[in-house]
Amino acid sequence: MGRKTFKVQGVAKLLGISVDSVRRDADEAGLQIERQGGSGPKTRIFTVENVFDLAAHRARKYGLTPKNKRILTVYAPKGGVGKTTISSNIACILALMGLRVLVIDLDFQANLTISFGYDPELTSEEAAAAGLAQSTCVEYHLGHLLPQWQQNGAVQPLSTVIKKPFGENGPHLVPSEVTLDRLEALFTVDAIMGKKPELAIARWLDEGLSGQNPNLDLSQYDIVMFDAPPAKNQTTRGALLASDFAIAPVSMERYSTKSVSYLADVIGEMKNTYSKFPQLSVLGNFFDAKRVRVAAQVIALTSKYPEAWMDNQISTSEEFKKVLDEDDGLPLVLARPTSTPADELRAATRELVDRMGMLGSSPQKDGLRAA
Amino acid sequence: MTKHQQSEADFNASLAERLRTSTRTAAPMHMNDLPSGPSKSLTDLLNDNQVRERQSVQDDPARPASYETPDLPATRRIPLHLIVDSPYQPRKKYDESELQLLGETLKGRGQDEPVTVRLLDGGRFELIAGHRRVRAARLIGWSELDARVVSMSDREACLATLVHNESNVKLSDYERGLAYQTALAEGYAATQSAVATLFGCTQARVSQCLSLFDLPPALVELMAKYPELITYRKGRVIKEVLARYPDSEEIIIRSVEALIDRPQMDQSELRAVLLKPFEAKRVRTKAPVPRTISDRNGESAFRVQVKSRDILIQVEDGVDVELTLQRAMAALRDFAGTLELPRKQKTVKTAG
Repeated sequence: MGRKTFKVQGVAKLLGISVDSVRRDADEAGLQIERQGGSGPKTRIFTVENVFDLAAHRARKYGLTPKNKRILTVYAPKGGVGKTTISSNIACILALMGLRVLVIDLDFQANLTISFGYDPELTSEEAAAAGLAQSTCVEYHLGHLLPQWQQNGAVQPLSTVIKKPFGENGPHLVPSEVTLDRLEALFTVDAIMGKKPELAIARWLDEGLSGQNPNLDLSQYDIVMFDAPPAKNQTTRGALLASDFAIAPVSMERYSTKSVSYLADVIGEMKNTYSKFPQLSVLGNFFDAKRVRVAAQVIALTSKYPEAWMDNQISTSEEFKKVLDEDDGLPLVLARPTSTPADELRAATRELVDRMGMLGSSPQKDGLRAA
Repeated sequence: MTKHQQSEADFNASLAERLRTSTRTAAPMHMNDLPSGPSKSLTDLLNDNQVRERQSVQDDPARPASYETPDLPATRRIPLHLIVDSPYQPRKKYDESELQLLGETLKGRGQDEPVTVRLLDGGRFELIAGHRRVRAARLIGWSELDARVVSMSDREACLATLVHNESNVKLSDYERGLAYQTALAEGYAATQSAVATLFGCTQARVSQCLSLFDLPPALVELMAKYPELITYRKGRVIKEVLARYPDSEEIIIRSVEALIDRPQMDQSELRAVLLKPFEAKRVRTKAPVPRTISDRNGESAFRVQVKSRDILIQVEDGVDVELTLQRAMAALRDFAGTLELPRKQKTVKTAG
């Protein structure tokens, strides 16, 4: 694959460690790292997979075990606030921290799936004709793992559905494609028959996390993430209800601020009906502290949701859009590890991990110098 | 204190204050509360739900009242005698039989949805939404109702009442027009199209309903008493007649009052009623009595009926229609020969 590679310096930045540590740990892990050809110095050339392997090695070496497994949904009822971009980047950063991550695309538009380099509309013939790997196609999605979908065949084992865009140690993905929206119709049928479709995802996760079902073993993951579409439907409600935490990106304008209020209402309803609800974090995206409009939204949000507002924000940046064109299939943190937005995403993810209480209060003590 | 003497902290504080006021001047935005406190675990959620499902299969308990969402403004029972009408309510008339029906529904089903009120000084509650339910509840002798108590300024209450009622049961054109007029007067909307957006209707509708207020003040007063009396279509007929006889406003207004006794009159009937006094001056017509013209033996050969300026001749069976026409025309020609009409007057029409 002609995909981006990293030099030692880039890897050091991605893992948040020194250049020497990268060299030492890579040798220690026995990773097969390519060397630059030609007449110059034979520097190491890391593939994306190598970087995640190294992260996993370091996690094992320093005995990184999260205190809690967590379920997280990235969701805002408002579209275009950066849910998918934030999902894919956070998933990668969590994996770079050495956590085992499963991210589930709930949007039939499958932007998350695309952001990891897959093409949900590609047929296997087209892939063959274009010389692309068959794994570029998307055959299954979350629906195929749920009993609601059984009318179209038996539940697929998790291993056939899951994609591993950056290898075994990168984030794992339950992809999506356009037929996923039929799941909503099936949930609606359940609702009519009084079968509580909003609990379907919770049931599925509970079974998977218990590790009892060999065809659905989610117990290997430290964190399961959902990237939810900007809809208020059974699927997104189901994911939120099952989640311990929710991140709502806001784009610092009035409508997106309002959408947090809608979300608060949905979560409030969950508390009243089930006494189970995700704890909300609001992440400022497209942030620009110099603008009065942004400041006004910060005040609106912090005065109403002081606990939810995150200390870190993601600035407006052209880099996000450039990455889509120039490094398709690679989230920004991987494509531009030294850029400002990558730094901001890492800081926000660290804050999120703290909020989720997954690691000890001092990451250094756990041997994790934070990605 | 000059700008230069202002400390950094003071400056920051003033900046924050400025931002805070600038957000306040923008229309206030309702933001829902986030729940706090502990959440159940995933496993507890599923276990509890299994238990609950089993229970509901076994004994199907009635929904407990505690299902009310506490995040909504508090719902409580309020004695009916403490509830007063909204002064902003555009509805002027309540259909007794519809209130009876609504009362029956309340009796049968209980109150599905709380009315919305706001607390006034002095412990009374002013209705925002639910004027009909309150009346129906009084009809069936209830003493209390479920009410959602919200806190609203006069202005908010006015808008909420106007907009709420628009979406509900049949308001007359006059009542709608009144609501639109209030919305314009109070500055909730600057133009007719803004009014249309606010109330969720078309601009044409807004202008139609508002057009009723161009009628003479005496008629506007009349509509305040009988809001359903004049629809905008009838209003148009009235305006048309007023334009034709601008000096006879009083006569026309008196004619309009006929609608009070005959509300089901349609536009063309109304037009006839309104025009009648003006025609009566020229031709004093008696009530049309159908007359029969008999043959030699007293059998009816023709029936003649006069309808204002038309003469209808019905030809009985056995009489030649063509011949009748020729004879009638001949007679009319004879008659016409004796007349001398001024130029461009209406010609005598024949019919039959």
